Amino acid sequence: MATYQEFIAQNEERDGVRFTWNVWPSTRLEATRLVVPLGCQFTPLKERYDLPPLNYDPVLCTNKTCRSILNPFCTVDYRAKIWICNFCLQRNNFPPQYAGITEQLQPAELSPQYTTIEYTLMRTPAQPAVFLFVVDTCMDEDDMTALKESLQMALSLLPTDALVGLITFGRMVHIHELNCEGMTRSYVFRGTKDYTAKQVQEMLGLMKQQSNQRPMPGNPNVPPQQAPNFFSKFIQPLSQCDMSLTDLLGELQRDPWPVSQGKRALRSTGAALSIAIGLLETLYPNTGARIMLFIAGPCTQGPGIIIDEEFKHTIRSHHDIEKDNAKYMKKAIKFYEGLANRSAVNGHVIDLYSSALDQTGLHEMKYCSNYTGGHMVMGDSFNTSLFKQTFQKVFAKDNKNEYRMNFGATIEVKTSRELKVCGAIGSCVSLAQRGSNVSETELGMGGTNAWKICGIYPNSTLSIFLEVLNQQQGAAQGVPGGQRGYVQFITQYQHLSGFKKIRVTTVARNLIDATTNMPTIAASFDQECASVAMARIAVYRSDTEEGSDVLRWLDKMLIRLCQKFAIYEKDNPGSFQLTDTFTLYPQFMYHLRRSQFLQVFNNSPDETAFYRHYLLVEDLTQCLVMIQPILYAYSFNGPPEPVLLDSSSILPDRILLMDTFYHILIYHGETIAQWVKAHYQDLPEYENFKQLLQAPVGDATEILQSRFPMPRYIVTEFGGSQARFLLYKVNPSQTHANLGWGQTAGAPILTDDVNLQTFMEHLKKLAVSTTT
Amino acid sequence: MTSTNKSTNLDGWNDPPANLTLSDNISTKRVLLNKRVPFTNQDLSATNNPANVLVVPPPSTTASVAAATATTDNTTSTTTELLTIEAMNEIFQTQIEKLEKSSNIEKKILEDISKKFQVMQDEWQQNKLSSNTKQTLSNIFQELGSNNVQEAFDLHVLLVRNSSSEVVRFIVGIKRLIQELQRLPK
Repeated sequence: MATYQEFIAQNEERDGVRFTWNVWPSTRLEATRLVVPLGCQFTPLKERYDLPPLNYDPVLCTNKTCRSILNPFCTVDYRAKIWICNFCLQRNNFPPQYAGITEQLQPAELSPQYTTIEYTLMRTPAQPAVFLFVVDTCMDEDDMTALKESLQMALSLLPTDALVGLITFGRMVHIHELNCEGMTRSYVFRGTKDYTAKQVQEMLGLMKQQSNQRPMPGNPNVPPQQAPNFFSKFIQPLSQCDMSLTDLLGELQRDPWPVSQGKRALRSTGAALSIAIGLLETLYPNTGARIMLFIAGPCTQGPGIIIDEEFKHTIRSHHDIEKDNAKYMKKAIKFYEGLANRSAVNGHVIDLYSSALDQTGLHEMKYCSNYTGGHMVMGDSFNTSLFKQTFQKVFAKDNKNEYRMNFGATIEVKTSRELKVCGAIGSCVSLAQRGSNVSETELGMGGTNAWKICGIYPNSTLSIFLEVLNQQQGAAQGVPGGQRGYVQFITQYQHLSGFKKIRVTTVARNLIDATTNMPTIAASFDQECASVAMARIAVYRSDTEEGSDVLRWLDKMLIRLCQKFAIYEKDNPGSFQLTDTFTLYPQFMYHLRRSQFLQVFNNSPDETAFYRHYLLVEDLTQCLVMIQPILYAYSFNGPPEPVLLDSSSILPDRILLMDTFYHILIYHGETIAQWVKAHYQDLPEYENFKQLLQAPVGDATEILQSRFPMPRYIVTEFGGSQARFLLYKVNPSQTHANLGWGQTAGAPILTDDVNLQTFMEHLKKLAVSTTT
Repeated sequence: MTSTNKSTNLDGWNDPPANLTLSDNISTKRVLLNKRVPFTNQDLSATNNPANVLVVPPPSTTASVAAATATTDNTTSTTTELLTIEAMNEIFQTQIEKLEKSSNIEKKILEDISKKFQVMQDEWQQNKLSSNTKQTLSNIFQELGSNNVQEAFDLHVLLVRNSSSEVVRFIVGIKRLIQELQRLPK
């Protein structure tokens, strides 16, 4: 329905929130009967350029167990200067600075258009951020040169007050001293041992730092504090060591230890990462920091070993994992997960930049980025534009010339008494904050109403799941128009300008009696949000459950949803019909089941970890693209139009643009390819053909400019080997099996996969059957 | 297995194009290609009529030849003139001499800076640099010529941000020149 779609779009635009259901049932039982859990996709730092700058602290509810923030849904008595908290119904006095407010002169935080608003805390300027480069030196010369150049250029892109450090590793781990005059010095650790933070502290002679006070920005007349700003020789302000670090990077050599035939280089990734974390734990606990790990192969010695040095022992595949044939995997996962947790506790982000033709162990190391909000970049070589451009984008700035990266975000959820919090799924860790609105039922990271995202960006999105509580009889009465449930998201984070900010988003939805109002609830279903929520739950479950169990669960949920909400006669599949709000959902589920998130065949464990990482990070629109790629057709028959992701859309006289998030593919149909070969685009009288060829390239460029990480970019044609990326994704409505005589449309796909038509037939049969 | 293509614009397998101007306008507010077509039960095979397949592309009529795609350069330039490479060379030589006169800088560093400047000069003369990049480089040297070292530094950051693939071979040298000039006692 147009009105609901508009409502959903408006709310997403304003608050960065989309709920799976926009009208909520008033009992717990009815909520569970909805099949798709009640929850939301929440983007805490959604780009908003129109928010008024509020340079003061937010007003909190005085109820100690509530502490929610003043918002437009509060009832306000302007004469008595009192506000009533909509979460706990406590009456609060306004602080003295609000004495002048009236109904005509509302503060911004009470204005209905600012259900999302941001406060900047002026009292406590934050520490500058730390960037610690941890660089593998076991790679070939070209890669090494390219990586060194990228790192040198990155120094120009860092914030001017940033602190930097450099660790390199191969067989040994070198912690480099910065700003050494006349020579280069480093402390060398054996790569075969693990080191605790204390050992690192002792061996490097580090002093535990007290927080250094920066001069207050905005107060240029106040001189910076004269307290000795002691910086360790390993982590120094960029402004002081830029030139020497540039030289140091320029002089880096490949790991000098010889590598024998048939063996891998000895790479001490685990030890290096452990030392890096120990170093930052000691010097900069609870400060925004980024550990940027660059690896060109798997860890082959020491803690966190992924595979040993013999080439004849291959890195585990999914098949090996299934057969329990992965010798080092469990121990490695435990090791890296431990490092990830240590890092997350301190607010330190771990980025993984992996560039190798074979796997490097992202499957074991994935918790390092997943728990800390770090990036995971997977490429073939550091000497490719995919890596170079992706790495550049890490330091990207937005329209207001501010960095898109931010640090140390904590997200807390407040709910009105009708709701409790079941958990969250995303690139975060639990803060284990047991508030009164924490549910006993857990879904995702539960047992808490607050989570921490150490590295947060404008597109970082959490899935937060809620539970409806049974309303007491008296509570629902006497409230005209029914009850409203409220949810408030409070995000505190460290902005790179040096200040802490608090963003507050408050949303409300109606609660109604489901037994009499099911159509209203059904009409409020957001099928796109539900698809992404189910996808994230499925991926979360895949960590601990067998793949086939997850698929079975997904199918069961789909059948139950159809049974509940479709219109049909029992045992009559032909009568099955879905209302508008549900029509796309089975399609999404079909594509999700056959996507790389749940079908691990044909992918390595590292690739699966890479794909799943971004599903847990990105916002709703991008997640949908990952689940069901976008396909647009360009032809002489009209303007570019979206087409079915189906083999019948592959026609000879069309150019197709497919965006899977990880790949951008431009496909020339057979006729188009022939015309290109005949060079029609070079003839002046066929200028329009040239423009047609250019149109998808222009759109693809737009996508490439705003996407992180840079996707693979494939230009292919009918019969081309790279066309397999397209053929693999489309619904195979025509296969070699069902292509009848005389049918020439579309490109038949050589597969035994079930197609969407067959899937829907089965779904209808199972949904209408009385025995399911 | 390394790529056999060793040109400066090295493209790995299925690499995105190297010379995308990364605009600072990376916002999520762009025209999203996000429409989907719902699945219907229709027979999808009858969508292409072989009789309609063209043998050659339809020729463009005079009306349909649209204006050439306007490449709106993300102009970082002001209305300042573009210096010639010779003028930039002169300014560069002046700055190098300034650094040579001051005693603290190692000869090796100055040689390295000169080498990188030579690389830039070569690329400029071989037309490998885009007009935007050339304009920014010209502005950098103009600022250096007028002793506005901080402005020159800010401009070099713009170059790294927007045209990294073009400037990668020499920008570190230019940056070092600017930094050494910044370090000189006034």
